[in-house]
Amino acid sequence: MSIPAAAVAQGARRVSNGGLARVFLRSLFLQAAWNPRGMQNVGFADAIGPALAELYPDPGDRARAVARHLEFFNCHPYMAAAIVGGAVRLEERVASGELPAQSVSSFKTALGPPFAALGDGFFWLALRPTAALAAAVTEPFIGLGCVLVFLGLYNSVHLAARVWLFAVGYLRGEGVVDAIARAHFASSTPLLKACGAVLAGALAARSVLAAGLPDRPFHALLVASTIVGAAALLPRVGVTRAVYAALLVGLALGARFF
Amino acid sequence: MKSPSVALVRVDNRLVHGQVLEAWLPALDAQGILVADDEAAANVLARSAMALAIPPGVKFEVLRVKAAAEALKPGGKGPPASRTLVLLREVRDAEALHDAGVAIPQLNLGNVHFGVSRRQVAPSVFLDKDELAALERLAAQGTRVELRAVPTESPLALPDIKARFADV
Repeated sequence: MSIPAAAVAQGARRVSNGGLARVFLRSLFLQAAWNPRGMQNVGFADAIGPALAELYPDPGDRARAVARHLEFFNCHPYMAAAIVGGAVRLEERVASGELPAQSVSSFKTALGPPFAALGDGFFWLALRPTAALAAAVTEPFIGLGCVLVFLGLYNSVHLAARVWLFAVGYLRGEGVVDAIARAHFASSTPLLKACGAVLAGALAARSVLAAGLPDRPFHALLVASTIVGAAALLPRVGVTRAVYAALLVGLALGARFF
Repeated sequence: MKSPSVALVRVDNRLVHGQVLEAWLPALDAQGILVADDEAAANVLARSAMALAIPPGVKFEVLRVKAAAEALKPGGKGPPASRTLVLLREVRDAEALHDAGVAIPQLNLGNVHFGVSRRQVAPSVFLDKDELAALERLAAQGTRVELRAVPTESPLALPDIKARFADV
């Protein structure tokens, strides 16, 4: 990762590229020690650990810095990469005596929840279903290979986003908010959801046709009404119960109960 | 254009986040969000990050608690939109609004984080003795207090919250 020359002030303490890489890799495990009291606090302190080790050579200073990062923190696990990156940049300035330690904490508290909302909307509610539906559409052509299509589509976007967010966070510090505003996360979410809806429609149409051909109109009707019924009932029965019901029906069909 | 009104007052340490935008806004059909918080009002970074996450078409305002009370009390300039969701960081801010003359028919407790003197009464809510007392004072003056993180959960009423507090 290259650092703009202007950002490296004389005598300023700086984290090495190897240290930054280790912080990024650890940030992938942000939720590994999730707990109700601090939520992602342990994961955050662990992720930023290698940077703090370089910035605070004195064991006492380092312990105090780690303890600061054990405060409550919660965000979307991917969007959090931007905050981890930004926190490293701010810690460099704290270690150099340019900023009070409190500024790192207020940066994390200010950005955590709104970035979580962006991430929930974009990754959980738009990218994940859309990638899954795109993969499902390929199933008739490549069979179980569609699982790989999903993993490839979803993870290439998600991992690239995490790398980019971490880099932007580190390079821009508090300017990360402007950078993310220009990335159009919020405005691309409805577009991605619309793509998902189109794919879901295509999938539904294909299921009805496949069930009805060559001459089984009753089966087509059955599949069509199941799809409409599921769409109407799903919000009321909840996803978990619907998945179990679908599993039972699938098993019963597989065992030729009816 | 419907007249400005308050749909719900919610205590949430995280203020603007996923539960609020993805679950509460659609469930309440809210057209606006008013964040009443001194810290957020004074922090330009927090304000711009929140504005980034607010969906287009939803009116958004951040005010200090005192200024929010001025706006919301009878005769004030009112909330920014019809069916506005009012977000507060702490239970004490709800009492401050009430004491300044703002009517709070319903108060939702969403997320109150762990603190050294707080006890856990729900997965996402920790309260201390003073906060519970403040909620009881509000309830005694007609506020319906309920605890739930998202609208699809069944709400926990104040007597249940008290029972859980006593059990811990």
